[in-house]
Amino acid sequence: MRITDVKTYIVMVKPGREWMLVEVETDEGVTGLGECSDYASTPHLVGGIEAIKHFIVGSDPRNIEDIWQKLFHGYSDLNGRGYVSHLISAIDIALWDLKGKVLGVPIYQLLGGPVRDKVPVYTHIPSPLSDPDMDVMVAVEAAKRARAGGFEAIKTDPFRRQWRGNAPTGGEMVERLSPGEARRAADWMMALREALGPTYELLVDAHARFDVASAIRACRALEPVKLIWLEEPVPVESVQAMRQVRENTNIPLSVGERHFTRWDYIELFRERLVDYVMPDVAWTGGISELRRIASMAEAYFIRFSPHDALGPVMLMAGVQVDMTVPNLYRQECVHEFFPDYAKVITPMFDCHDGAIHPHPDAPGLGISLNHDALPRYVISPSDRRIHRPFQVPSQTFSAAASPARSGRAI
Amino acid sequence: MKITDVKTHLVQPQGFNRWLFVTVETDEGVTGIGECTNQTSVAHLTRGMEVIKPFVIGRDPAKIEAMWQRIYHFYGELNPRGYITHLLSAIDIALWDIKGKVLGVPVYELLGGPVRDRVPLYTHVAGRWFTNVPVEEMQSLARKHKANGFEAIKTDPFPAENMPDGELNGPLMVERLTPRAIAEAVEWMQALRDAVGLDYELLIDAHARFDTISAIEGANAMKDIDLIWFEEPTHLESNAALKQIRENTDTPLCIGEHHFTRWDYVPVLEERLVDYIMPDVAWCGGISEFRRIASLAEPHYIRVSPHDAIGPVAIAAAFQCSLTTPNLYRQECVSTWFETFPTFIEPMFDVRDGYIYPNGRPGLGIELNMDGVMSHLIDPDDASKAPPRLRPGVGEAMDGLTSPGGRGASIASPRRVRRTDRR
Repeated sequence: MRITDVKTYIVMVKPGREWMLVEVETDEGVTGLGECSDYASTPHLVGGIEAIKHFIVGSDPRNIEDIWQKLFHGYSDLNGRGYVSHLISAIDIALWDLKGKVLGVPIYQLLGGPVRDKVPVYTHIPSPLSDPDMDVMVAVEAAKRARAGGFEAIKTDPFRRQWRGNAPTGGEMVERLSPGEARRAADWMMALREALGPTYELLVDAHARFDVASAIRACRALEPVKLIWLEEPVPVESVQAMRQVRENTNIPLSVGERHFTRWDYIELFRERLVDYVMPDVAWTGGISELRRIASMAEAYFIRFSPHDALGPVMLMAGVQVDMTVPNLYRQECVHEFFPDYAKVITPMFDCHDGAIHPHPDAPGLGISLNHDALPRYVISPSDRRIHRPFQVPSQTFSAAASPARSGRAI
Repeated sequence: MKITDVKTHLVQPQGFNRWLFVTVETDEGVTGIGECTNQTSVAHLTRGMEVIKPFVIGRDPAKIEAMWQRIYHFYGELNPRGYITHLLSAIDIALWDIKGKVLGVPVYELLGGPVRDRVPLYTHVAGRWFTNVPVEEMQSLARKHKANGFEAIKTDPFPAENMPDGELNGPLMVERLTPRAIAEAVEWMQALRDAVGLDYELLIDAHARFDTISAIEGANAMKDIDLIWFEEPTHLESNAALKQIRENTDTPLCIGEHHFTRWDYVPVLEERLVDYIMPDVAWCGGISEFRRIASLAEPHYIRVSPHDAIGPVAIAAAFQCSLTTPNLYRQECVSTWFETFPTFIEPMFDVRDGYIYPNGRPGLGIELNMDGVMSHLIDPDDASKAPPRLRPGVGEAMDGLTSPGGRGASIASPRRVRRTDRR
């Protein structure tokens, strides 16, 4: 069996929420589906898949590990951890999907078989990160609806952007949090806590935005909310900064979406800097690497919770791994995206009672692209609606809440 | 003043070398030049520069630091250390060139002024990694370098004996050094030592190829060669591996070309894992970041030695930094490539007696010779222009090791092939 082509689809069901899906084609007609969408970085990755395609076409798609090793170590000049691991992820996910389809079993059967029959998830609600003028009741009502829909845990970013206007200046890229804003964020979370009750699971994502002193202030302000975790308190480049936060708060901590491959996790585990890890299957090196990071975490008795924020393929790839991981906390998802997913994949996956229930007879990822519907949503890589630097200020929900505006000059 | 365009120019000067130049144009007619050549990755970087343009066009080129901060931190989700810092480096170098030209001074004047009047170089001879040069030819080139004034030479003496036809496959991406390979490497280095004499400065580059014990044994075997440094003994992802090597050899160590920005250097310097560092100005984050990394090393009393940034623009940028860096060892170069430079730059730098001398011109001190550039442009996806191991489908090294019913994997590895041409 040989790989004959790697096709990229930029799929935009809603403006500002494009996904980058990759389909690996073979000479035997079986195809594999992958994804490495990443907001404003997606245009880089579209080009990147084009640039590595020549190294993959002609290979045996069953040799997943061999391809992983060659791409990761082969591109060490660019650093395998980051841009390169995103590209590897899309290919790796597609190759596991292919292997599952060829063998007629879900991917989780190839990873040692399931240790659970469903994957518990947590979801998101609108946050003041994307709309600084949002009333807390908007978030409270959304949270109540999510709980009524069966979701048992919710994550949000309660910190408003600390720069004014549509884009930060060069001096504002690492944000400083004022004492007033830290208190505001704590009040926001406390309103959610009061609305949802003392045992509902709440998580906060700080999106790696703050300097050390700001992060410590934020953590301490949120301690009374009794969070499951506070995520990415500081930018990820400095282990020392993370340690300084760790030593100055009792709040449980989590990182992961900006940590790529096992190598980025070793130090976190050794120094016990976090209580949860949340690698993204589409960014950290695919299903192969996600499973290995989970095993590494297990050796430290640390729980694992895959990051997810974009398209349907990365979510289902995470779910396939989650089925096999003993030390799972929950799988992240954004349930508001589900109706969009249903338009481009078939069959739509089954999510009820706060968990995703993969079908035991569905091979590979358990989903395929709906090629009949797809042309309606596929856009060109040069389409101006694709995320560009600073068109939108943030991650989850930002696109929905704030239409693209031109950035201000520095 | 506003930036009006950013253009990439991928050229093939000779052999399988490929250089990626970048020009930043402004509405006042001043153009800055930069470079982010990386042989394995030109197809990625050429595309990436197109994507990153919206960050740059319309901005004031004088605001170098603001540009750096915005691009670097914006790409946190891709890990900016690597691919993004390559793109950032080319832009940063071009902006420093513009600033120097606007102010009418060389870039080194803007970095605090020179602390030396010329920059010492080291150069290369053939090694044993993917090359088959007779030992006498290597010795003859080494003597020639010495006669031409070069005071130090680097090479990679370790044969790639596990790699038929240079093909790398999955399990061989982290190489094991056999006792035989080590013995051959020592012989090669002894022959080099014999050619240049006891006081000559010799360096080894192990190209981040080996597992930990191979690296330890390879470094220890070189004890009698009396090296200046043994570079990149192991892969870059594990500081714990580097520490294990550090604690088990007396050979001085060096890392750098695969370390990007200050953040990658902090743990290496704090734990004193190496004796020299060698950031690449075209990969680590440009002139701005190179200068900051050098300053970070200074309070540790660690010397800095710019990695040979391959093409002439990057070398000119590294030279500007080297003139102002107190803790410089030497700047790397591959002097045998210099003969092709005058086709692409004007004027050629003033290289004499193993040193580069400043020419007093503003900015980087050189301009691209656009006639030469335009007549050597290539397509980044043209496989026939890539080094053999970067071509698709080369090698069938997995034959006999395949999945049931399949023939082996045949993907060509993109791995760091530029060294095959290195002389």
